Amino acid sequence: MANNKRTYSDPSYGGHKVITFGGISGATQTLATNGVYACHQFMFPARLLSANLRFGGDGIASGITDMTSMSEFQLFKSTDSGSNLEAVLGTFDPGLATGTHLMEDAALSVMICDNLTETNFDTGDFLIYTVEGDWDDPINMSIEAEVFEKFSNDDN
Amino acid sequence: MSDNSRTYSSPSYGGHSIITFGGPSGAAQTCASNGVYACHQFMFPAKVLSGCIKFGAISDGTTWRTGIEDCTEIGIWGGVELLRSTDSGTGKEITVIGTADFLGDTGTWLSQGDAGLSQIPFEDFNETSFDAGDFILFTCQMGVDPAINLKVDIEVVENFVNSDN
Repeated sequence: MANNKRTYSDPSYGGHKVITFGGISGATQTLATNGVYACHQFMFPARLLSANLRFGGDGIASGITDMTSMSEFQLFKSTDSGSNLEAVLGTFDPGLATGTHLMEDAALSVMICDNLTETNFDTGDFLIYTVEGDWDDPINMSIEAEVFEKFSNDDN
Repeated sequence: MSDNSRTYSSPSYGGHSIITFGGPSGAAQTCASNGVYACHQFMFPAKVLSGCIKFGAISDGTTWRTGIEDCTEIGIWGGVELLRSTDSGTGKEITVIGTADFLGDTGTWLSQGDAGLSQIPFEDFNETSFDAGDFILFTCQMGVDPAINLKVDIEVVENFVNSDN
């Protein structure tokens, strides 16, 4: 976070950006209900507008081939160190639970968070992606978060 | 995509940003001609200005590879292109946005270890606008036994959206 001499009315605050986080997990990983899969800690104040869940390859398969063991695909906000899941911001629809979700298939390699609650984050707040399940092979899930920057007093 | 009270003339639309997509593939992966390797679905209207491919490290669970060690094992490097799709990603529309030239198929293409050889730019780039929900597709033709890790960085500027008014 830097002082770049902007006023609160500077229209550059409205520019939309995509923040991507997450990636490959470990093999034989287990997550309990709403276990944290990945997170992002905001480095500047921002408002979350929308989000996608993206499936990638893991070196063994080029996407998820069986989602039946996974559930609770959700986004949370945490204003502390990330241990508290304070508010559900949105749930990814697991209606595609069966079948393969390879990244070669554009439509099936993504799930859109279609009930997202737009939410403000201060610097230091966490955006947390949780899932419940266990798997033997590693999996690769990433979140693409659409945000725009909010006014920061430090910019004055 | 949200209403944050901007007009079409807001200079915030001109800010450049980078969107990265792609990543590790699977072992024994095959892509036919212009087969989709990875994609991004736009969440706000944007214009793509440039792009490049980056090679990353990959493991099959036993061995780590720090990039692509020999492109000859990847088969035919054809159709290494960026394309647009305005439907669910199955249609590859309009002309090619950009093509990457691998400058030969031998040699070692390390990831972080060699800045100059760890990425290839898309050339002859056609700047292209995307609406929210449109896909940008990274395609190639290949067959791989060990998995590979290709990422695409695209430079975008946000386009005006009526709902911002």
